[in-house]
Amino acid sequence: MSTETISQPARAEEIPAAAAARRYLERFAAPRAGAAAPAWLRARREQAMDRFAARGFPSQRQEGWRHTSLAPIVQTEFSFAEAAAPPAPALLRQLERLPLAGLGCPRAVLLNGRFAPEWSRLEGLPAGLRVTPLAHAWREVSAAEAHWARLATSERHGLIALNTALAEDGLLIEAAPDADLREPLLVIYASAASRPLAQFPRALVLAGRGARLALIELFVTLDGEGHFTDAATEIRLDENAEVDHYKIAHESLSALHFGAIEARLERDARYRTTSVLLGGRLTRNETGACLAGAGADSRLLGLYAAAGRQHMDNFTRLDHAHPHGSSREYYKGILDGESAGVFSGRIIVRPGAQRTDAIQSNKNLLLSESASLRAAEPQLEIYADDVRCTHGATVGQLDPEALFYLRTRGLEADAARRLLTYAFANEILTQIEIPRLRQALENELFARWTGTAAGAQANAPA
Amino acid sequence: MSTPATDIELLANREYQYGFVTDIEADTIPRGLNEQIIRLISAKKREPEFMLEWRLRAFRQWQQMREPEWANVKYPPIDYQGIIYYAAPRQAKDQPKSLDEVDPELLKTYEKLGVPLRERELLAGVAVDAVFDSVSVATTFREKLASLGIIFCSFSEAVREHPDLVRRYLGSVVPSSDNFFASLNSAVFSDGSFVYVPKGVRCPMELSTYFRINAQDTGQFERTLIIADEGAQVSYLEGCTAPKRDSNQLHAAVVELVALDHATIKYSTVQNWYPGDAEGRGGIYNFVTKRGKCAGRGAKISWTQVETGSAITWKYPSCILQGEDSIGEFYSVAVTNHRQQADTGTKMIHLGRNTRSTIVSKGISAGFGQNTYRGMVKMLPGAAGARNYSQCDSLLLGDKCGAHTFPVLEVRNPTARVEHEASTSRIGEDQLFYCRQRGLSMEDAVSMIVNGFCKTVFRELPMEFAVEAQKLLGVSLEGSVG
Repeated sequence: MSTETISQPARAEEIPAAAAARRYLERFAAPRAGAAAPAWLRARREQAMDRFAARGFPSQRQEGWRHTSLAPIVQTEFSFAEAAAPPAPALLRQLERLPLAGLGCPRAVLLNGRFAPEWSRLEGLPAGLRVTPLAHAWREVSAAEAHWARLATSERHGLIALNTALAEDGLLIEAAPDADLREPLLVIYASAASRPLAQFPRALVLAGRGARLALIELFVTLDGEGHFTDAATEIRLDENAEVDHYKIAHESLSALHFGAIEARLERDARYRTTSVLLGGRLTRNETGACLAGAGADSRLLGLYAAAGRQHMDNFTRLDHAHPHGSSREYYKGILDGESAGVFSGRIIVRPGAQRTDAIQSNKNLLLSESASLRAAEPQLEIYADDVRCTHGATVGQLDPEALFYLRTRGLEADAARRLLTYAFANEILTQIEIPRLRQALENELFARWTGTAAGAQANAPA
Repeated sequence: MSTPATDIELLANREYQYGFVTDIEADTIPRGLNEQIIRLISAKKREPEFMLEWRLRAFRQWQQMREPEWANVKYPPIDYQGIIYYAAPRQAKDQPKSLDEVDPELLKTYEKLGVPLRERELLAGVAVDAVFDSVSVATTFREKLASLGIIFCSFSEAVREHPDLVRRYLGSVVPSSDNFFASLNSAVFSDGSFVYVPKGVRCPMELSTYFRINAQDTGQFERTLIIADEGAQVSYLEGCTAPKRDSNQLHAAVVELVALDHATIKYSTVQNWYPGDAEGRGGIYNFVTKRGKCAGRGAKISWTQVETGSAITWKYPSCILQGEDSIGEFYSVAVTNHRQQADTGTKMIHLGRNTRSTIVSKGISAGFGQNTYRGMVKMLPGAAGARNYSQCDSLLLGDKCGAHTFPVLEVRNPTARVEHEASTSRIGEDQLFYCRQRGLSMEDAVSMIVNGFCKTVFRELPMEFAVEAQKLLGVSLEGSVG
């Protein structure tokens, strides 16, 4: 008897969680608020929904998802944000109190996945910067049709497909050629609802030739527990453009967060992205950059600090498609309590991408008996010969000799540990080029590791 | 003056040196695989009942399994019903008593391969258990080993003579349900080597075996089991060459090592199966499961491999570090040239306290070769104070080849330390220039640099293998410079 005759379940990489999927299908079928979507958008959404209907949520049997279970997302019946939620002044005050929200720069706020003009501060944007809510841009701006959902595509997996199909709004951020926009733009994705809510915010960033743009994306919970954020950010860098991008995931400890960042770099473009994961019960943060022109340069930085029962999964991909590209990737993880961390970093050097220079490093610090690094998976896939690619990964604990040294200088054991933990994280923080943001994050983390409350508590929103 | 390139081309197009077929009548059974065939194999080998049952169970498990698809290799589907699962050289009824009784044709084959049994007997002091297709034909130095209580014999003999040992350890490291190819092997394995080193005995010589696939269209399913009892030490060498064929042949072997308290096992492999021609026709599919278990305190298992042959290599010699303070090592050089594909690496599974492991992997890709390192280091909650260091480097020779690295680290114990480093690059032009300027030919310069790249691994090989490995490396890479 041959193996072919044995009936096996169809290559069950993704078993559609039927019940959960149905809710999203129904939501998709329901009429949408606001003006009718243009035909191209309807087509893209339908294609995405078909994709989701066919493949469902990624399962742990699928490569790249082995160490992260989406069960909390699949098993929860989320409600969906309805349009025209009344802006509650109490929530706004709460938003203003967040240390990271008060950076004093122009800001755009999305509440439950929809643009909230009352909360945004977009007056007097510098020349060359245009911020348009997607709900408007889809109908009016031709660039949206050309570029929306072209980088973070539904083909990747069900979560991106779901975002593409169900995104109600978002932002289109355009930097005009040669505009100097290094004064950062802050985008806040806030969630506030009485019931567990699913939101699908989306951003499309277009940096014109030679433009320089700084962008901070901040995810926060203002009210309500256990919401599900399914976000996607696409960033296109034209020739010689430079984007300095930050993502701070600081939602409540019961939030479920998925975020995809996809960047595409043309010739000589420079892209730097820093992901700082602090909140969320379950976080999956995907960062991808495609070096699609010669001489492009990409830097991926990441810091994930988990405590309690948090689970943080970092998935990164650097795709070197053209010669003379360089990339640097530094990710550091601090795992305390019963938390779990995952790092997966893939570097692809395509045929012909000669003279590529890629360095990747992932370091993890385990602070407690029950914390675990589920997996560190650096992956090099190299199809060109004249390259230099290295990667390194370490897992360890605080150096006992360093601890001893600090003790001999009169520090208490606890203080010594916190100081060393902070120093470990600081290697990433010092690379943040916006002083106000760096200061805010330093304060946040310093409080976390030196405050009296357990680290996880310090992180909960007020 | 001829350009180096022309010389290189000449060398590159050199025929596979070991491609010849020995004309011996083979005693084969019908093609295909079913319970009848397994019963037939078992009966032909006059195995006790427990072996047959074990095979049948493995076969039933295999039927429920799917061929793994995760490896970074591509090949047309294998027709498992088109394979002949057993071939033994037809000889006089009984096993030969000494070398004189061995078919001279066979001896000539080994002569061509550079394994002159007698010479080795006399000069090298190596006991060779030569496996020709599926049945061991000659075993030397048996008496000397026997006087120390060491058992070194063919697997079939061990099943008959030492059923207790076989029963106790067979499948204890690689269970019959382990993976698709291990299950297939468990069901149909033909022969292999068996070693048992008793308590406190240090094996006085390198044990060695040569595998060789000869009869056309026969799969080779070797099974090796090595047991080092408390405080025992043994070093085992395995070498492979196969003659030239056009259709691909399947080789699905299983090697199990068991090291008890303070025992040491060193297992070295030089694998030079036929890699197929320059266009990727023919060649061996080498799908091997190798695993060792450091069952006792302070046990040590060391794998060293030089993989230059085979069309496809799928092989992950692993260590289960169960005993406290036990040590696992993996040293590997894998070369892929022309259309060869290799997906190889190791797994270090740390269970016990203060267990340590070292991984050094060197991959060399040339031509259209695809070379993948895939490794896993797992620190389980009990592995307090465990330590791992991994280094995998890849060298690229040519712009059509690929080198890939897929390591996985999993750490469940905060006192464990894991370090992993990897790099990929090609030979530096400045290095080449320096060598050329000192008067070395291009070929010699590359050879020297590549040998230097592999030195940390070659150093681990026993002397006679180290020489062979360097030669093989040279032959495998000829024509890849340019």
